[in-house]
Amino acid sequence: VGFLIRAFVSATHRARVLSIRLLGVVVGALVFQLPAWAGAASAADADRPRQALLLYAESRLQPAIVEADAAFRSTVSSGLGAPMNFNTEFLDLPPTASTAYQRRLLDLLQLKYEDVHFDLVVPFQIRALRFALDARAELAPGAPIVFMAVPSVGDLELPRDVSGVQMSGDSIDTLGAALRLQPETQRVVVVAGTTPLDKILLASVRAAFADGPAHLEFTYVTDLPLDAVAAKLATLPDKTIVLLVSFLQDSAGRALSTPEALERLVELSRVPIYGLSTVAMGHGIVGGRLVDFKKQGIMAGDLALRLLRGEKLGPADIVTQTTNIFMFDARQLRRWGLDESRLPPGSVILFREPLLWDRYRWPIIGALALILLESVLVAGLVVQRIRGKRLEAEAAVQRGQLAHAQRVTVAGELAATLAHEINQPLGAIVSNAEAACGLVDPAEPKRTDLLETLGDIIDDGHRASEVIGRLRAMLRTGVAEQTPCDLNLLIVEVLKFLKGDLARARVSTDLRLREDLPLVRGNAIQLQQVILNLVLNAEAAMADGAGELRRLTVETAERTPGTVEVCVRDTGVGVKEGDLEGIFKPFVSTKASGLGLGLSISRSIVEAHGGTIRADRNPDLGLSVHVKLPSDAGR
Amino acid sequence: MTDGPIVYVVDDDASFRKAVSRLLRSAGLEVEALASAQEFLGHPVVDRPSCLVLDVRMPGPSGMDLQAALQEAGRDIPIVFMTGHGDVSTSVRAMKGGAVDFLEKPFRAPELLACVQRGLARSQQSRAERAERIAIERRYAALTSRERDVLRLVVTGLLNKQIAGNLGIAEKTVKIHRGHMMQKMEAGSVAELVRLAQKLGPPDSEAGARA
Repeated sequence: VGFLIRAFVSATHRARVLSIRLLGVVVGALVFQLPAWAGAASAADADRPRQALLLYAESRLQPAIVEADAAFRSTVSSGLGAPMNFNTEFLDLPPTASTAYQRRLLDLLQLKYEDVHFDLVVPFQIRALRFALDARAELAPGAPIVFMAVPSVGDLELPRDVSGVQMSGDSIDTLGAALRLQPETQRVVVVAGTTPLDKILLASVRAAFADGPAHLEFTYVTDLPLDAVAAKLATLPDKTIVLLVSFLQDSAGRALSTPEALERLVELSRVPIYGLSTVAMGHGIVGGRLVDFKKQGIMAGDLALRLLRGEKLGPADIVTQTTNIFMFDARQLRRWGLDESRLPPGSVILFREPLLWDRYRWPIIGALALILLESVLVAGLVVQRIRGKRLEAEAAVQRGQLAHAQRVTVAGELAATLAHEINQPLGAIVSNAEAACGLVDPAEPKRTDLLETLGDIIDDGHRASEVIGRLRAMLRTGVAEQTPCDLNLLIVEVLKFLKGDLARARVSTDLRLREDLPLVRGNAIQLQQVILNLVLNAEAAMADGAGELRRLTVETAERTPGTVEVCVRDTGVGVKEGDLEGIFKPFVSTKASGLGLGLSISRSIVEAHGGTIRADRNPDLGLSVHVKLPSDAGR
Repeated sequence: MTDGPIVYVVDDDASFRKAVSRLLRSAGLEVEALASAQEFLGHPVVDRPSCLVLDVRMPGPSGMDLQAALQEAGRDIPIVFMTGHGDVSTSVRAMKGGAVDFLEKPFRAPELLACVQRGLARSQQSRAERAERIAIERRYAALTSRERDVLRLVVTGLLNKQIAGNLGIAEKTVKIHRGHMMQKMEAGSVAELVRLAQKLGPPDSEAGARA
């Protein structure tokens, strides 16, 4: 995202610069068309548009010119409150002054502005100022001069009606700022182009650095093709900084602007590049004490306004105070890892990319909160799921145990019942055979065979009984492992298993469990089987009940010390008085699908635990089954 | 032989009841077969040596219930339990309640007969003991109050003189009471008198003194 934003900012900046350039061209074109119309109107009209002549030594719009020119025009136009024509001339003065060329150029301009009375001449930079001073008498007699961006008037003798705004490249302050940012710097490479202006500016920098810090090694790179300069910068050692003065043309004669040159150099340079002008700002320089051309234009505009309002201005009014500002590019600071806190006080930092945090604080907080919330929710659900699964697994295991125990007990009960039912006739057979032995008359000739036969019957009867006995022993509802059990807990667990069943059967459950119920020594699973059987019987008894009332009551109590009682009460169909004893017999069932072993098993288990089980008809509805078990303490 | 031993067989299974009865009769015993605990309780009590062969599990009151009921009623009849499927806890309870034995069906005839004989012997013995006790009580009841006093002091080992001092009567009078008392109690010696007195239970001196 950071990358995209950087790309976007850079793109908009370029678009802005481009549009300003275009604007300059358009305005320039309009101004060229104006003089004819202006001349026609000038004769009589006191309110004729004022005329200004803007002179640039260059052949085209340089970024610095664009800034200064636009600022000057807008300052004057908005301050004057009257029409103003800005006649702009790009003089394209040759590098070496040629009197002949200047003469002809002047003739041309005279011809061009024959009918124009200039109120003001505004040269930009020193060469244009020189031209203006030379040409004024012929081209714009009596018009005062207001110059812009002149580093130093030097040896020029200025007439009394010349004023303007001085400009000085703050190479020393820029170097100072660079050293604050990079105190380890040992070498300074100063780069400039080959145009006269480039050279003038380079010379002034050189002069300034003549007294520079002794520990620094200064190198001046000029008169080279741009690519050669770039190659040089690409191989610079560490602890070096570059100062780009101005680069309007390279030694190959390639016309450039400082930003254009800069962009190429920044691409390859191994070290940070500092600059001297706002023009370079945003194109790759780290920053520096920069000449602000816009400010130049504004201040020159102010002087022009004073003149146009009738004030007389002279060399004494020349603005010498610096218009430079410490300005830095946040992106470059970050690129070179320079500490923003070391910048000179009052520095302007441009292109500061707001951190995502600054720009989107609340959305980020919101998103984070949302993510956190969601994570917590997900974690909660996962935990719940895991716990649910574990509980489910535990319940399944317990249910499995119970089901297994029930099957084993059913088998055991079946075997016990079978043993009883079969041993009864076997006992009769054996006893009869034994009785027969006693009845045999010893005198009878065949008595031996008869006694043998009876003996076999007796033996086989015993054999059959032993088979049954072995089967029973295998499936015995024996005394399984016994531990102290909390009947209340067992009841709650069983009812938890049956919750779904009871809900489907629309049975409401009433638990009346006595607190601090003494423990019972027994096998938890077998005791749960008893409770399970009793509850299932109760539920089945209520299933066909027409009544709305389907209430299951499970109660625990200790009515006599040492005996724990469990009572399972239903509001079902109940049992006839005469059938009460029979319901504990095996294979006695009121249910079509029932084996009739539930209560029988329950009785076996309860009795194996030394307890008793009994059923009573409720006075109103249904049946109560009471189980009494000796408590652990009662033994 | 209306005074001979009698065996009661109580089992709800008619076929088994009949078979066991037949077996016991073949061994020369008189048998009364009954189908339930209630039937047995409703049966007239006879003064004969008797033994109860009882099934544990029956509809209605179980064999265990009948055992408890008989104990409560003070009826001393030896019981041989039978069960189709014995479990340890029931048999332990039965034996603690004074059962002769606990047999699992089917059982061998000699096993049953041995148990029944043991039961009858126990019954016989308790009957004899009871008869003797009744006889002694009858003799004791014939004593005068003074003779009872003398008996009480004789069995504690006192000499005639000491007894006389104790009762505040003449030694000669003590001798006469003692002679009558020994005769009425049918005791040949002091040692025999002590044995008889023990069977009477703790000497009821207060009551005896007042009577």
